[in-house]
Amino acid sequence: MAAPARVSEEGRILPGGNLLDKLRADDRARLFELGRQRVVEEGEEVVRQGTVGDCLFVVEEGELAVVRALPGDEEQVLITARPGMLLGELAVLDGGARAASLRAVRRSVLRVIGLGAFEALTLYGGEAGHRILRAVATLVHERLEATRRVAACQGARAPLAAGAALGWSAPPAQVAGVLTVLPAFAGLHQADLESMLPALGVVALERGSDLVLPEVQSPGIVMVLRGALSPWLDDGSGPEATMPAIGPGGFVDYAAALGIASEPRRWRVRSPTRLMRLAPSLFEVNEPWSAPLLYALSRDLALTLRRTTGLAMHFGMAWAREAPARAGAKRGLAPAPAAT
Amino acid sequence: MCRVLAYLGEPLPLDDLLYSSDNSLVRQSYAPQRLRMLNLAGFGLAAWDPSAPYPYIYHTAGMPAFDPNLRTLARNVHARCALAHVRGVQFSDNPLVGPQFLHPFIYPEMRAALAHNGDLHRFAEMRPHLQQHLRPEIARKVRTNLDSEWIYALFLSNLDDPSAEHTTEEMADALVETLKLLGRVRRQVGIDTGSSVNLFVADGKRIVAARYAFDFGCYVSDDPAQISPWQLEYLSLWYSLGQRYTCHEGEWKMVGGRESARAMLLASEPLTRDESTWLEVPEYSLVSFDMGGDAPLVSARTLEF
Repeated sequence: MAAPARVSEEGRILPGGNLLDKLRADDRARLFELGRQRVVEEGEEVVRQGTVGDCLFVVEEGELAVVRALPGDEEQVLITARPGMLLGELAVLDGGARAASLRAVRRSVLRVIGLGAFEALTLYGGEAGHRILRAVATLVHERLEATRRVAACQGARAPLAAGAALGWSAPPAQVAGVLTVLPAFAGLHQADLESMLPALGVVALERGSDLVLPEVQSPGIVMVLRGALSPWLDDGSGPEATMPAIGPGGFVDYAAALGIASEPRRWRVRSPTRLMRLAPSLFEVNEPWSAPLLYALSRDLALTLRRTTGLAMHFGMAWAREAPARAGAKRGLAPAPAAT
Repeated sequence: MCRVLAYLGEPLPLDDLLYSSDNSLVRQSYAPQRLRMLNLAGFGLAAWDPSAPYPYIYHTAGMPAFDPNLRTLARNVHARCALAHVRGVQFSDNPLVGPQFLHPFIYPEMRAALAHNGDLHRFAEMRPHLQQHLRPEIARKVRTNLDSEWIYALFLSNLDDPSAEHTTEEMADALVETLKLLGRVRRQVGIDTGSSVNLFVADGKRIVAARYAFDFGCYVSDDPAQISPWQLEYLSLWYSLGQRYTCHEGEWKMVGGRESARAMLLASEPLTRDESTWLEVPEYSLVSFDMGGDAPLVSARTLEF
């Protein structure tokens, strides 16, 4: 095995590190300035699953096992984290408990970044904060996609064609009132939300219909305003079992907000639904609401990843015990990927 | 909006389930972790001991935290199966509160009990269309207009012989048929407001539970004052498996390995703030636990209709 790359104090160089590879050198340095270094010895527990998460970690040196406890007191090593990897971000983003324990495989060096400092940087840190948060959100997105692939036992998917245009229209004024109760818009005032209306579109969908996102024309950021959607298997045979339904305030298509390519996906409309389209410009760095919106998206992704990881474990357990005749949905099994 | 707990496994004191952990069911009546609402409209329990086919029943319209009878009972009764419920009711001028509304519902001579977490919006309009689906002998037992009791009566009516012991499969089928019927009647009446129906059925040897919502996410109106937090979130349901539920190194949890599991807990929210040994039941699905064999048989199916 090759020796792990060392991460310098300034945050330079980090081959193999998946967060830091996404950041410019000056952004890495900015992020590292916020934290403190912690050295852990072989076997030492860094955090315990189920505890409050008030900081995130970047592995500077060494290796850490990401360990998840299962019902019945068993444990499963999900991954081994190596230099450059970001850990502990879920609990920081969504405010939940630690989804896994971290244990040093050998003597390791970590950069520990507190929740308050991370929030201050990403919400009020200008362009650098925006870039860093976008990198973190992209990383959570990649982990979510990896979890979905493993949970569904999918290799490469046959490409779906982009979806037909949905026929968006300008939202009625009362939509601003609805937004005030959605967690994604917490912290924004009604006046802010009203001034955002020209950048929004809405469309109503019937229960039981299917759609593919992103649309072939003008993809935007799509959120459920009322009702719910479920990700549906490409062949239309049923729900993607390890993905929770997306209800009011949940993001359905967000690639344009992260500046990444979006793979078309099929969705089933669970209830009479109203979708809302947000113009990508709302997420651009100097827009007044871009930081809270991007943070809301990051939180939503973190919550979804946390739940998807748990659901993958459920299917790994329950399906295994199911009578053969019922084992039909063979999309369940999963030594779940990492979510910390 | 209620909280529910179901247990199946090696006999253990009810106190362990109702009071001991840091997010016990009794605590969830006044400080739930995953519900922005209190559950102060009463408590109910059905508990089976290892030797009897019919359960002990305890209902109180008071708060379980202030009920010394319940505490004494919980310390002394060991159950191999239990179904317990703390009831939450939205404030209104005419609330349905009282002993007759308390879950779990179990009619005399019936083996299966049912508890419900959720509510059926505009149920009064559905009721006339449901009446014809009740068996006459069951219809005579219905005491209230409460959606949850009617769901129980419909479930019993969907069993071949409501008073007989049934397999897990038969109980699950009856629960699925009940949900399908409710869905058909909602469409018939034109109801498309979100309604949660997390259902728990227990008979002392098996537990079947559904995590389901009709028209999830459909709040009543665009007036933000009318939108409740629970209309934005799918009601939760969790479970844990192991050899036994116990306090291990200061923490209540299932211990002993799931491959040799002898006990199962199912609850609206984990009984411990540390959720690490709990798993979420998927939305739109049904799970069953059966202790009939050497090891509990756990099965699951999706609910797509």
